[in-house]
Amino acid sequence: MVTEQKSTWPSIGPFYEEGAEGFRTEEMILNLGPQHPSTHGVLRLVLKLEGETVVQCTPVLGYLHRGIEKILENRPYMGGIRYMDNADYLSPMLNETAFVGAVEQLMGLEPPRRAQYIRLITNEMQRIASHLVGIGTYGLDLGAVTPILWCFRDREGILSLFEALGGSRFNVNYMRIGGVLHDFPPGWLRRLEQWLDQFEHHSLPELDGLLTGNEIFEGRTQGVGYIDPQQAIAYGLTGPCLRASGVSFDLRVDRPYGAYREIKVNPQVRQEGDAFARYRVRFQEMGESVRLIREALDKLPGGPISARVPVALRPPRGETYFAVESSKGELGIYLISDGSEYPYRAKIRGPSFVNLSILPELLRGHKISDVIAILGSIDIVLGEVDR
Amino acid sequence: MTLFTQIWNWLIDINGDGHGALQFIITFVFSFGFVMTSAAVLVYLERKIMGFMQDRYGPLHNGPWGLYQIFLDPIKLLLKEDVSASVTDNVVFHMAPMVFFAPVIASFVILPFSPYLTTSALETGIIYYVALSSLDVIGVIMAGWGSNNKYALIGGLRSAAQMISYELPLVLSLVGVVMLTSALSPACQGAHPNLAKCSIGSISLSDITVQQMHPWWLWFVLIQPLGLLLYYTCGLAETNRTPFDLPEAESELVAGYLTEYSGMRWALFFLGEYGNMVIVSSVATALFLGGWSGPGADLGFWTSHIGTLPGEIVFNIFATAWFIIKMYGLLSVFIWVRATLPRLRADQLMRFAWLVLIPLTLANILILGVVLLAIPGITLKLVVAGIINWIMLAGYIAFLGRVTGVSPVGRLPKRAQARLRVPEPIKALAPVER
Amino acid sequence: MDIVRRPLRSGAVATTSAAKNAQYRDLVRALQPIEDIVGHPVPRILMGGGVVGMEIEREHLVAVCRFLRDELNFDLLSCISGVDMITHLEVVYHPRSLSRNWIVQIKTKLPLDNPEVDSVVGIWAAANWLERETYDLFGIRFVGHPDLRRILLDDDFVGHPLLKSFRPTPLTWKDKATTQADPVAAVSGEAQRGIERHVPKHLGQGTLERLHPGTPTFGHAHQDALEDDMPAEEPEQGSQ
Repeated sequence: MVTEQKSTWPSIGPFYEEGAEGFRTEEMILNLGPQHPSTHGVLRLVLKLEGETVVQCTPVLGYLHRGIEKILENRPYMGGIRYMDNADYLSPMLNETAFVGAVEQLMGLEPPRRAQYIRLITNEMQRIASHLVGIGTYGLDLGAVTPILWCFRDREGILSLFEALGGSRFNVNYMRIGGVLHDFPPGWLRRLEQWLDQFEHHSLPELDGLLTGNEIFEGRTQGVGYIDPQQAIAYGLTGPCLRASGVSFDLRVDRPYGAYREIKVNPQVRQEGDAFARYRVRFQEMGESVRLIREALDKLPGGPISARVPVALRPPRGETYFAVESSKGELGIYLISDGSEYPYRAKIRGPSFVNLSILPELLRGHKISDVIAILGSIDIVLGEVDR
Repeated sequence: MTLFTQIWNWLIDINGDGHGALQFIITFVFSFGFVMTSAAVLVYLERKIMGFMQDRYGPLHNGPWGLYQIFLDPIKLLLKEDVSASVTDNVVFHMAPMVFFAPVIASFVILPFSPYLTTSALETGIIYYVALSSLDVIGVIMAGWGSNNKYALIGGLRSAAQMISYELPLVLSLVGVVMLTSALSPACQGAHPNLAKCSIGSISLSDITVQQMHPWWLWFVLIQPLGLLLYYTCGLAETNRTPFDLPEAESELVAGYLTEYSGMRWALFFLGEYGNMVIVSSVATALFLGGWSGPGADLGFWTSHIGTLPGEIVFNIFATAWFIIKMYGLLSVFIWVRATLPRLRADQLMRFAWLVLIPLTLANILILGVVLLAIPGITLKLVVAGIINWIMLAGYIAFLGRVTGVSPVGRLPKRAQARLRVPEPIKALAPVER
Repeated sequence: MDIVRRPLRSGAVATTSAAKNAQYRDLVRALQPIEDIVGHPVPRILMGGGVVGMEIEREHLVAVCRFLRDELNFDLLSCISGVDMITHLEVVYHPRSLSRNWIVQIKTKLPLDNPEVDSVVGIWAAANWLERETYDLFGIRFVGHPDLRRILLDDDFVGHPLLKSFRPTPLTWKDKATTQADPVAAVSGEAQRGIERHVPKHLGQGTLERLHPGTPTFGHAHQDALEDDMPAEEPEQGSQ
């Protein structure tokens, strides 16, 4: 009983190909499997190799697909905020900001100014935390075992601040529609400033000295994984990957939301477009975030931290698209409300998902050893890719 | 002679030159025990030192400062189940760890811990050491082949290529030291050196160590610092340490030759690697850092103050202590480098060996030879050679970035390029799910 | 030209000002030629966040998108979403113009019996995976897509989950293992669950391998193709 099933795989090509003289040439298929120390999550890459060169790459996704969009249709708006934490699990605050921002834009609701500043501060802290993980794991992929531990040590400062603020280190569930959950506890701002001081004057220069001028690190990342700006835009890249190719597009600058309308952001742009440029953009963005947090702390207004919004919120019928500048790129929420307590459709535009689509194009022609360097430089989070 | 005198002579003074069976026994036991425990201690030290560099404690709980880890790690490895997958070549697979480990043990014999704790019979110290380190390559290839795993085979071959490539500059960087011993030997000194009788220098480690003690601080590192750095770099590559640890990297795609080994077999490879590190550091200490010389290691001082036998004992203790301190200093640099640097890519690694290290070592030999021949007077020779070498060292460090920095972007091989097709858009697709 | 301003909740600060309306007036005016492409007036609605929305029939979608990209420089495709409106399906596109900082929303309605629309992969390369995802979750077919297959779910998943009519289906039993000839294709799906099968290895090693539920088989369990060469030695486990 032979079931004739058409292969749904793309034409990777026949496994054996007859050469002109009639002998077989074998191309090797290498499976960078879902469990691998360097794939930043459960990502599977099927590489077709000719010798040491990658001829074709097929990413296989979906190992972390949890159906978050479907879940969001079955939870009230406030109950759904916490599911956004699971998308990009390295930047939950930014995800939550996107979701509540979408609901507020749908309702035409503007949160109080203090809430917007608090959102900016936590968002920028979260951006620093996410970039620390990205840079640390990138160093680890390339063999530098020390930067990751220093990055995580600095991340501990941020996470314990989040714990004091919202009760949880990682997925805080802190944003609410109309504002934020808690105000700063006493002493929090002073702790934040202490942490900022030691981060900016001690940790960042340490990390810089260890990675940036290192000839081996530069040798493995410079000239590797070049993305043309036109190609980047065509593939929908956003965030540090796009800014490293010379395109200055930052949603905080071009489409400001919240307190970014009052605090100006300098987008960090580089022209080289290779993996080293992406690393430098993330590094410089961390410094920029520190500056933004300091400015927001100076200008922090008083007032309420949340608008009064019913728990069983029923936004008016309508649809909206709202995007924030997440640590990985443009995190967009396309929200449709039918007037009931549950969203009708909540589509999450994950930046890592779109950024990853350039990988097959990018890996063509590179050697195996560069695969890890390129994949790490795009800095994906599988939670956002698969949702 | 009475039986007692004969036994006494055999023990103490078999040849009439002060060396006896007792010395051999003590040296053997000490050497073997020291290097083996050094490997275990080194594992602990690595975890501890790397931990402190990474802003964390290393092992902390087992014993004071986690010192019991030194015993517990080997015990754990001994107790592991002996897993051997169905392998192609049983003999090769099982022999590989031993073939890898045996040259390491055999290299102990050349180490001059102190004038008493050394086997001076081995006059061919350097050649012997280099030959044995070349045997390690066989062990690696055997490991890759016997693993029945094409990725392990590729990894083994790549590791073997790396080790072979770095053998050459390793040997060449030691030639400078040999030339210095030649210049320092008595027949070559003076205003009119007797070139017919001028010995060609010594390749015995103990002799080279002794040559560095006129005065006790004139170590060869002052005259040949570039030699030490190059030798050390090649030692890093020989022992598969970062930044040359591509064969053992867990985040690289191709599995290394160690994939199929577990338990005590893996422990043998592991001990072999750490033993190799100890040997490399010891050889560097003996050749460049003056071996057992140091303040306090003065035979005349101790014999005149305490007496002949206690004086010798105390002198040897000091000498051994200095040797061990210097050796562990170099080992700590191994660990420091591992904590700091990322990994070189395979092609960068090979390019570095062949296009940078070999020309540099050859240039080192050439320039040193010219200086030693052209300049009269031993002091002036050494000073000029030292100055030139320090300048070369500074240039090497300054320009290293230029050499390793550029990485070529990959290009598709022509065959693949011809076959590469952009998939055509299909007008209408048949339904794919039932 | 219609600009509909959404009524704001009382007490909220107005975010749409006259200056912003002027900015979007340019965009709305620039979108005028779409009416020529489509052939009839197209209402352009200013929505929250400065997004101008339009609804285009699926026949004119590619032409409109090409106009947007080539003439108006909408070069970055942000998002493609599918929506299940129970009576019909919708595909919503959100392209951006980086140089002029515009964003539009294009909505296409699709009937339920024939949910097909032309693929915009030729216009924006980002649409490749976004359309695959929409197909995966909604069943909307994109004609002209070079590689339309599931991306987030298993290759042999039955159903399209984000449809409102999707209910968790009971596990389906298939008679044979659903591996393909591709040696790296892993077995997933329900047929492997709950049954243990003995499969001889065909690499010349001669060891029987017991398949536990969920084991990827990498081509070993491909009974269909190998039945011609070697009879299958597996005992039938009643997996029908």
